[in-house]
Amino acid sequence: MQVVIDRARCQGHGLCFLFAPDLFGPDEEGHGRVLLGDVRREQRQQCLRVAENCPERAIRVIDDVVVEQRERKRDVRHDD
Amino acid sequence: MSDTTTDQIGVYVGEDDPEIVNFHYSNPELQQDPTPLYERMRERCPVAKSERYGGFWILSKYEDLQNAYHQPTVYSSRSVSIPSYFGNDRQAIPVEIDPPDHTKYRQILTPLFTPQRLKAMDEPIRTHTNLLIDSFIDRGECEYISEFATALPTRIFLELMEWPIADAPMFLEWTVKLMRGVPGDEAATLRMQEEAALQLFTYFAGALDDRDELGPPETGPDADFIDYLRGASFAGERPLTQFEILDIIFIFLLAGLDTTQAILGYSTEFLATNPDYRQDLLEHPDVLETATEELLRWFAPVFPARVLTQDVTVRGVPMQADDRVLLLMSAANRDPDEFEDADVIDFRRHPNRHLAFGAGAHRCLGSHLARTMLHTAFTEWHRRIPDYRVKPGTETVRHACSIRGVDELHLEFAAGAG
Repeated sequence: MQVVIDRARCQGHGLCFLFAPDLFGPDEEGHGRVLLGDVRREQRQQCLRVAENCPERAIRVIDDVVVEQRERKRDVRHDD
Repeated sequence: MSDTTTDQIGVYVGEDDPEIVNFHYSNPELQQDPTPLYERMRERCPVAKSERYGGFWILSKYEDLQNAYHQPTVYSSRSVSIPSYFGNDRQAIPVEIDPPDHTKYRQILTPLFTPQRLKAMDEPIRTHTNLLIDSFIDRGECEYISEFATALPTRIFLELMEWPIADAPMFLEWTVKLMRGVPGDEAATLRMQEEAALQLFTYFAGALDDRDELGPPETGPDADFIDYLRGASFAGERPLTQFEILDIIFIFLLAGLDTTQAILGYSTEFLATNPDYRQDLLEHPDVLETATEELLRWFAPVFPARVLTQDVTVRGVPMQADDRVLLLMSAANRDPDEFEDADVIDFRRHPNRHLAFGAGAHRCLGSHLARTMLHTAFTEWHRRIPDYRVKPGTETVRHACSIRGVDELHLEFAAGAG
């Protein structure tokens, strides 16, 4: 699972590293930086919470493709 | 355009609502609780029109403010206050600068305000917080604003600039004049503010000249604020002029002063009069950060404005180039389309994407410093004075110019507290 910060959107509010200092840190400009290359499944909830809280919507949590496809199938069944 | 259409647009922008037509955030009747009016504007006239000060639009939907913040070429910052800021005829840097120059100034200034660089301020902030508390704790009472809420950011500014703390009382006097002026007397206020601004600029210019006499600026990570600005390059083309450096220092002082004072003042008044919230903070120190964000959302003190550079239509309302637009941030911060139970103060609120520090390219540069000051002030205060209340028989005085705030807040607590 990957967490990506869109550098064009990030304005350095710093809420990500304020609330999740084990997952995010400041870069040289004080903008957000993801500390871990590959985030563990158990940290997904926390990442989603942090992403939700970004005033610039600059954080994306990219789930594994397999998980996404499974969820998409589940959604389609639900819509029927 | 038919009469019907004009009437519809007239109603839609609040033409039939005297409180909207006459709206300005400094109106005395709005000081206690502007919420009902903000709600009416946001729900009925999300693009409202006031006829004050030559007329200006008012945006109060969260989404519309975000759009404005993210379109600086349409919503220009060349003037960010209604009415315009006192005195200075130069564009305040970087607040009243648009891209592309704005980006170039930010490139210079951003490194001065990173969390890494500001770590050095953690200790002085804690020290000064406690020194200020020391000065009144044994009295069992204080006037919170002058003795703490204004004093703390003033001292921290001096620490940042590495100027003598002994100059703090003088700075305090100038900045109070600058911010408050003479209530009720616009002409006298303007004179007082210009005089105070001049005194501050003279001090800054003196400090800069002293440094110039010593020689070229120190460079590298040990360079202090002033040397950093003296050695900086504007887009790799030229050094900053003396005027630019003075203007930047002036804005740094102003930007962090009445804003921080306001949040401290409003928050402390709130905690003094809402012991259940105070108890929550005392019992759950882990909510300090989310509680601070919620207090920022609720008491966001700034009333930023923009000037349109072109004709724009928002929610069907046509606005024209050169029209002024007030971004009613405190209304947007209570927009139920963004915030669940928006009118409830929730110390655990999540998410909380409030706009107290703005958004987009002009995002408050000092937000990390502000948060550190607030976290430390709340922690140290409650550690030493957990129980306090507004002193009976005193009046809490508020003001609202371009930054609203509390001017006087008399507190009492057990002498020596603890």
